[in-house]
Amino acid sequence: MRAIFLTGLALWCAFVFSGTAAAAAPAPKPKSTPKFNPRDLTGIWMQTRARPFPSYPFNDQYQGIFQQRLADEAAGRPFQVAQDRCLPAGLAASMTTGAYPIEIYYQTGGQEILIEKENIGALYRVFLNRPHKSADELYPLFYGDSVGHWEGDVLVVDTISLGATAALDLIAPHSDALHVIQRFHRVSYDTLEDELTFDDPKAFTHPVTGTAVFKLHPDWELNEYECTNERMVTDSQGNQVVTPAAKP
Amino acid sequence: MRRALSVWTVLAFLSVAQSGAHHSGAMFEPVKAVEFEGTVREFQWTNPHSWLQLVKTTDAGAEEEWSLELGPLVGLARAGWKPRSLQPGDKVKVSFHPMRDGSRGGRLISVTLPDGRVFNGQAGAPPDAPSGH
Repeated sequence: MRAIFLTGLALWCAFVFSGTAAAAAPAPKPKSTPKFNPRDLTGIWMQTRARPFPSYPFNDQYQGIFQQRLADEAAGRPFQVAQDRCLPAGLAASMTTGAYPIEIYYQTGGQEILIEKENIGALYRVFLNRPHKSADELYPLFYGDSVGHWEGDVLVVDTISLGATAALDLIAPHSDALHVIQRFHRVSYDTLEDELTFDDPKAFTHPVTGTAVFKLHPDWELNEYECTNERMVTDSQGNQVVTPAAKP
Repeated sequence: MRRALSVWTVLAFLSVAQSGAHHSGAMFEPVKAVEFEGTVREFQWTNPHSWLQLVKTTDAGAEEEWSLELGPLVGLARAGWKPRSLQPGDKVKVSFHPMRDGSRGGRLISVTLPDGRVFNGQAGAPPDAPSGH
């Protein structure tokens, strides 16, 4: 009799507690992937740590420039990139080392695509409704003259006239002949790939291609970023020093 | 051994050089970290870098002012910093990479607040972000 009672109690407990556990922890529903239009690149995107280029195929002249910059860096006299003077990083450096989010907008019915970088609010425009400006209209620019078109779901952007900066990242050199082709492809709801081709006939032995990967951050917003307090400056000897306790 | 140390030092240097991402890190000691306690004189909530002006009292009783560079305010804000996270007069403990030239400055690694909270001084970019600018 006692054995029957204990068996019954055990079965009751197993039934009750298994039901309680099931009620407390329902099986999670599979997470649905939001639908997206692959031609809609709008939103705030942040580049991942993956770097598109491990190295560059410099010719002898530019390999020499690169080596000199490395030597100066090691000696505490680093090459002064444009952003050391609160100027824009430029297109190539923005896409190889993007430590700040970008926001992409469409306007004029999608015929003009705006890409804004949070850092100093730099904005560059991709025109889908015109060819490049003529050579006599162009001058050295930070983000160049960019024209684009769609190939299926890939936005192809062609940029020239990038002579206002001279760094592919924080140190590697480029010339004023740098030509950048970007192929933006939204491969999933939250992933945007930018296949970059750098062609620099004055600096490279051949063009190079690499891919920068961006992740969507729908809950972020871009903040105001004015460069007001750069205290790392170059002294008259070319050394970087800190200005004393500057006020913002 | 010497070669291995050299490679490691270069990698560490590049890591520090790129961690702040706005400019080269050549002015900082790449591996060395210094820690001390001090009093906040001013917290500059600015771009391209925020700065902590910290007063340290030496063993001899003299006061020294140090300038410690943080990430840009936009990155610090995403990591939980607030414009008034550090207030003048706060007693804090700092860890930083000192200037190579020996001047009173460096790149802040972390700061421990009076209430025990620890903030990353180089939260200039979200964790999954690349370094660079």
